[in-house]
Amino acid sequence: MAESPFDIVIGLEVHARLLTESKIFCPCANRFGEEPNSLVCPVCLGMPGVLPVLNHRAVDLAVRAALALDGRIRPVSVFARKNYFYPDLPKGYQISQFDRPFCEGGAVPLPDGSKIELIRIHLEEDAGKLLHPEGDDGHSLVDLNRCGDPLIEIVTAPVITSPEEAYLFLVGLKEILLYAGVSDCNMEEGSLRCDANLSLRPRGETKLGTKTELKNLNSFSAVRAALRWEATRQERTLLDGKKVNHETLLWNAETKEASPMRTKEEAHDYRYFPEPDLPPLVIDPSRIDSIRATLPELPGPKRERFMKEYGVRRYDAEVLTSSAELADYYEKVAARFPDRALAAAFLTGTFLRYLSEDDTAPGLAPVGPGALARLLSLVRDETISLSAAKKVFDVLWKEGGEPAEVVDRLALRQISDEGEVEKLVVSVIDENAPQVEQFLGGKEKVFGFLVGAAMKKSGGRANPSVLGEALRAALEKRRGGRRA
Amino acid sequence: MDLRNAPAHTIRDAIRDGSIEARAVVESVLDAIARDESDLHCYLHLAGRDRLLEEADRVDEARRRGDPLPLLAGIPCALKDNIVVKGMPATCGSKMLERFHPPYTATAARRLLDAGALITGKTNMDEFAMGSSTENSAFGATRNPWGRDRVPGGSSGGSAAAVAAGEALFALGSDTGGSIRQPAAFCGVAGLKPTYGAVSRRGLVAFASSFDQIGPIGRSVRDVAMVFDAIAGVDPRDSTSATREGGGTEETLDAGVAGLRVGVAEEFFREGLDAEVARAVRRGIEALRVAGAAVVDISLSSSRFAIPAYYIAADAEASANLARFDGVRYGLRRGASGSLGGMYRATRNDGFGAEVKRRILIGTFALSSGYREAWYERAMKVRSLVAADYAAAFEICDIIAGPATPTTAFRLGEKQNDPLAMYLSDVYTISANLAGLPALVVPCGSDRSGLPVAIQLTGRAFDEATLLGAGAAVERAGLFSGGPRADGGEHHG
Amino acid sequence: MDIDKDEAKRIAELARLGLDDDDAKRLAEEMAAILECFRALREADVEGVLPWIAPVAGSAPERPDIVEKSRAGKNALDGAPDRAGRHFRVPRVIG
Repeated sequence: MAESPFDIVIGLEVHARLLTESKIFCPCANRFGEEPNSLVCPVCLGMPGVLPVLNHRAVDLAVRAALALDGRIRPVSVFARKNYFYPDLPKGYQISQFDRPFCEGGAVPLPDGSKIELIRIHLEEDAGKLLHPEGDDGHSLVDLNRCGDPLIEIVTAPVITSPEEAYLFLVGLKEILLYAGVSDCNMEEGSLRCDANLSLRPRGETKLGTKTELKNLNSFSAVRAALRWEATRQERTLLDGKKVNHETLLWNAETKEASPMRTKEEAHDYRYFPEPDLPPLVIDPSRIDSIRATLPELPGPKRERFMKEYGVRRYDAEVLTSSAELADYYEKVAARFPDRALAAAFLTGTFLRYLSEDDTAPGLAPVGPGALARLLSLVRDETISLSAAKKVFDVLWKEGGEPAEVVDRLALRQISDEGEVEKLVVSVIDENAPQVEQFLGGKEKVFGFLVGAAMKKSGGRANPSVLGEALRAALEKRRGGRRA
Repeated sequence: MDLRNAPAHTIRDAIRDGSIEARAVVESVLDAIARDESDLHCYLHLAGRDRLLEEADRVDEARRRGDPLPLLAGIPCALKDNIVVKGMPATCGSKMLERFHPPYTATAARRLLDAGALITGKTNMDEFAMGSSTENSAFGATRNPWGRDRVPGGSSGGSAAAVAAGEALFALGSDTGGSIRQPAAFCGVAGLKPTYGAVSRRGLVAFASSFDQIGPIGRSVRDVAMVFDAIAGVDPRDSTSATREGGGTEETLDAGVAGLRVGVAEEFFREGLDAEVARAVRRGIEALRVAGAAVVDISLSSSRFAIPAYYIAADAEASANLARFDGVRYGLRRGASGSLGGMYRATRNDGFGAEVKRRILIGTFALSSGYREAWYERAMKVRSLVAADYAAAFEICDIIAGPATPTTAFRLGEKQNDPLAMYLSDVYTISANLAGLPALVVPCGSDRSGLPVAIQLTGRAFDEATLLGAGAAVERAGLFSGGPRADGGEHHG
Repeated sequence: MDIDKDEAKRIAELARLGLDDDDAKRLAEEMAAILECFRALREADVEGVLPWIAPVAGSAPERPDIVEKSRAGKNALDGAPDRAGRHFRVPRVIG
């Protein structure tokens, strides 16, 4: 494929709903999925005479987010009215922040070690929801439950260079926000939303091209797919000698295409001015310090530490730290069980699979870290094989119990006694003369067949390494005997 | 006791000590309404007569039983129709809210109700508080009890006229650029615009958020102090309300003004001020001097920018505050069969009167891209200049005295076609709103035709006590005979 | 101050005021006269002056993060000009 003569420039605007109990400016519940217009009050309904009062926890969580994202918190920031008319915006303005947001800068690290810089993070209230019922195409319906939910808006610098990088940014951002307990980042429930903008610029140039905005991106993969599509479209446009129009496009996840928004585009004049109903937001250094003290270790530093302290590979470290709970579980196992690599392998493999099938979180797994550590110890001291351990795990998960007890109940102890293994080897050799011949004739591959036969004969209980050694020794003896 | 003319605090005391029945008080007010309301049109909504008498009876029963009575028990009062009370409509004088019934009660109103006051009804006003004559009401003008061909002033014209005519013992109004003080001056009653933040704005339909305040209108300065004490104080549901307890001004009302320094700005007494008004105001200042105050010269040089700064900043905030009236969730809806944009436009075109549209346009313009810095931001900076002028003046004086209005009550229809002339008549009142300072008007004389003149006193932030004390001193000088003329005939002159 | 009919219409549209031609023309004239008078604002020396802050000053008060069910909210749809079940209903929003 020919290399593009253009560089891609992408910026993202992400909105995350904060994990507060109540809305940002009124005490209505901050909850998803309830009966329409049931989580409302005169304030969030925009009735005449109402006034906003700021939610303490919303500020705390916003500060948490800023700290987790390494941003600079402004000691004094100002709320502002963003004025426009839309049925989901009861006051005809949104209380947001404009030229003095509470946080500037910040960054999200990517797996390759690079960082995506943020321009700013600010606090604002959410708008309501519109429905366009199919059975009544002359009308739209308004539900204001969501109106007034607390949001932070995170704006990246236009430094993302590919759709894939945008995807990785979102994964990394979500991880950090989850770790910090700021938001549950659920795109399906609307607690995480993303708009993207993209422009192309001829390779080597610095001047930014005309950008388009992409909306209605309902998943991380939709973000990636839409950006890919738009990059292609813009490239074709430019190569055809035409200009890219500055417009807003709506992504259609079914047709996998974006089309311009159908409203006649008057450029929005939001007429921002400082919100007169709210004094400036003053955030004390002492408040920042006490919040910082409650921040958990973030994914990036945790991964580095896992690799260093436990010697796990980067890939495993990434999987283990993909959730704070899983990472915590691993550390509890590692505290009781010295073979960290084995623990990592088991957790990233079998354990994760069981979690996923049962749709359970590590903290609620039927097999706790102590029991798992005891199980893995039985593997390590060769009481059982790894495959036997998986059988035991299955029983522990579904029925509970103690690993050692289940091992005995299922008679899964490995046969490691050399004498017994010898007998096994002898009978396998006797019963598989043709394969033995083939092996002795030089077919190395047949060794595996013989091992398998011995394993089967032992009911899977033969200690693989003891068996392997004994079998090889016996065969070599045969060979030697031959030569004589 | 002459219930028609006695001040509310006297009646309050008499109810509490049993020398009058609350029922008699309410009946007196109801009589005044029956007699004059069809002429004056102070009210847009009247509480039911029977209900009011029942509530009065309950007060009387409680007193007979010896139960402790709340402070304002049985006192009938009127509330401007932009202050929401659950169970009564709140039209703000506008077609937009003609059938609007608020689902909650304003904090200031709640405090009055908790103090035992009886709400007689909601009073007429210029639409959304935009105006200086109450002629901008969508439901007809209110007439001044002192002259039925005269305006009562605005935008709290209904409240001021009701108090002047005895149709309520006191009232609440709202003041954004003079809307309590100017009608109080025109109607010969006392009116206070508190310090910005002294009284909760929750439940006051917002005009200009950083200017608006709810305030009392009463027959005497003590009445005003009594009501201010009842409604002032921090409200956790208003983030701009001051974190200090309200009240305590009635206690110190008679402290006198010995040693008080009264600042007078001569620039206020120049052109545009009616000679008779000037004379009466000077007599008021002299009364303070005679009572022991010292008069000092001050200058408020930024006052010449006050009108543009006020109108630009207030209209800008108003343009945003009125955006919620869009026909979606409550209030008027027009153009429902068309597009969404068509519905917005038809609703707002039909629902708003001419003055409101004018101000929304000016406000929108002042905030719009390309103009915001030169207009809105500049106006907000000029506010700082005005506030600094006052701060400098208050280094050498304790209160500032001057005219409240350039003329006495003008005739109905006289200024309707000249919005600019109407704006310019706010010249004396708007500075206190720009700087957020408390200001009180007290009647201090009449013109040749008997129309009331008031003196305006402006004080330091949160120093209502000093302000009201000085107002009481002016009142004690007896410069104004009080009570509307019994015949309410036409005035000439 | 030059506000012509088209400028008045543009500003009116920002405020969703549906002015017809005659309205727009009249309001444009009125606005122009008013703004001309207000131009005096330009003469004020605001060099280095900060925008006004209310005497209440201090920082935005914060309320605890506690849910309160609103009684007024229960009847949110009372007085709605148009509704469908538990939704407010408006003309179709396009785009």
